[in-house]
Amino acid sequence: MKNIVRPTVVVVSLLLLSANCASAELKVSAVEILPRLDLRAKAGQPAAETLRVQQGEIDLRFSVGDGEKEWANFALQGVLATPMTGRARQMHFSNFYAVGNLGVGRPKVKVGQFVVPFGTLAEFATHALLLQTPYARTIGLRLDRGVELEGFVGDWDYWLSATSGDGRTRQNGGYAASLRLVRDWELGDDFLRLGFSYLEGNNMPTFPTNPMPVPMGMDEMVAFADKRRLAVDVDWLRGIDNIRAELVVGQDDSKRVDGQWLYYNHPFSYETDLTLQADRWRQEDGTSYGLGAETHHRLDDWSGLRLSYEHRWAHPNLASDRSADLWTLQYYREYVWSPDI
Amino acid sequence: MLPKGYRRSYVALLLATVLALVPLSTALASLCVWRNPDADIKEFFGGGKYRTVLERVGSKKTKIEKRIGQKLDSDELQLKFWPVIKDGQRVGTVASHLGKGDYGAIEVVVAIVDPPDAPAKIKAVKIQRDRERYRSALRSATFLDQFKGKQANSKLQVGEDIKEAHPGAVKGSKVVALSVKKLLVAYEELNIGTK
Repeated sequence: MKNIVRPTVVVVSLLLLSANCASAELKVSAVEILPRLDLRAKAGQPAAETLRVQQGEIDLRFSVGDGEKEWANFALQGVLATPMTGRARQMHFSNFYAVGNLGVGRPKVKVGQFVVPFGTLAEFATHALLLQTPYARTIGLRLDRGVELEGFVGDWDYWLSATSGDGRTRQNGGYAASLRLVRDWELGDDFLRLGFSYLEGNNMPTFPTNPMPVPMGMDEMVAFADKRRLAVDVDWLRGIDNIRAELVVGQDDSKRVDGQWLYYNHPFSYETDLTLQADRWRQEDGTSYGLGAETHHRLDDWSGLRLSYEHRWAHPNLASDRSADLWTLQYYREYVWSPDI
Repeated sequence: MLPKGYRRSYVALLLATVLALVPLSTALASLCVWRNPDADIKEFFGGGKYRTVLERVGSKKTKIEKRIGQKLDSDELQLKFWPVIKDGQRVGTVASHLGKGDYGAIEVVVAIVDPPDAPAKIKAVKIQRDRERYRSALRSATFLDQFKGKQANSKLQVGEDIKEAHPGAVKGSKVVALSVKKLLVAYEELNIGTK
């Protein structure tokens, strides 16, 4: 499995691109290039840093179709610069997938390296945010390699995926299978989206209980466990406020794990909003907690500032308590540019 | 040859410089995505296939701005349209637009049809995402059905040919009306019906 998916997607992409020239039937269209720059300065523990490039990347998206229908959409993400390393980097970077359209009303097939459709992760894009959802704790990964079906049945949207279960570093066999079902309700001026997810995985990575916002430099301490997870997630637009929550229960090698995540976002205007969040995660070797606040201000259509404060603490069963306090200032600037082809 | 770490820093610095220097007048694509093509095509046209047409505003910018009565935003210099094909025939075109509401984006989706020997007109309008106080009024058929049949030359002005969704949602109503106007005018000026 290792190193198979990425070359396969590249080869398929090149074949489809060359088909543009070789065949009157297939054409590449809707090419979009998305450069993105993310500068951050940090203060506090565990990592005070002066202003530096946190995420420098270029994404490429395009479609391949026959003039009547788009057969496939491609998304490739290239990393130019980041101080992130190891599993933390792999959780964040290198979306690399193709989505095949089987037709209106039929499921879409995604192949490649993509965000695992478990709980909030399936739809809440965390890549550019300072405060992250607790995926590193709840399932131990974010981007994974494999195949996914996306579609809808009646009022329910569904995602069904089979992936390697260990991001880009599958090294010891194993898998992860995930199913997510989601339904929307409009309740007067409110909007409610309720999701149910189930994940079953073999030999999946588990970080030891820690107070880190992102588990950097902990790759050597990662253990592997057979995981089973059940999650309920809520995305509630209550008036102008957005409340999100995720409740997870499950097992790591038959040992109980559970956690909660609560998120509140209030917009003051189109340009400015405030986010508060709290999370807790309990696993066999201890319990960790986090509280965070983040404010975001758009400078224009393409850039903005975020400032966050995060306090995290952990109670490992066999070690002394630890905590982390981190202030982060972010400036981002991004574009979407489509060349003539 | 620079070491790998330096090369990456160099590339990042280069990217930062390019990003900082790229003028916003450079053609930049629409920020708005079409979130539920399958469900929308079924709702608007009873089914069909679709493809993406990404069109640069280019030399038509001034004319479009004159017709809509204001400057295009920097994310509106390239626009996306999705022609819908059903039973081998083009039955219409879908377009989406991100407007700036009081508390967040208002994402408007429109279905445009080309009647024979008549200007293109609106078949349906829906809001795929918003964060406004009077959401149900803004999404109501009472408000959105007012856009049916409107053409690029229609005024599409709240208080004139469009009644606001709610007295507390005047700005949101204006954002929706302007989105519809922009898409209709661009559709006509860029000859999307033939693409």
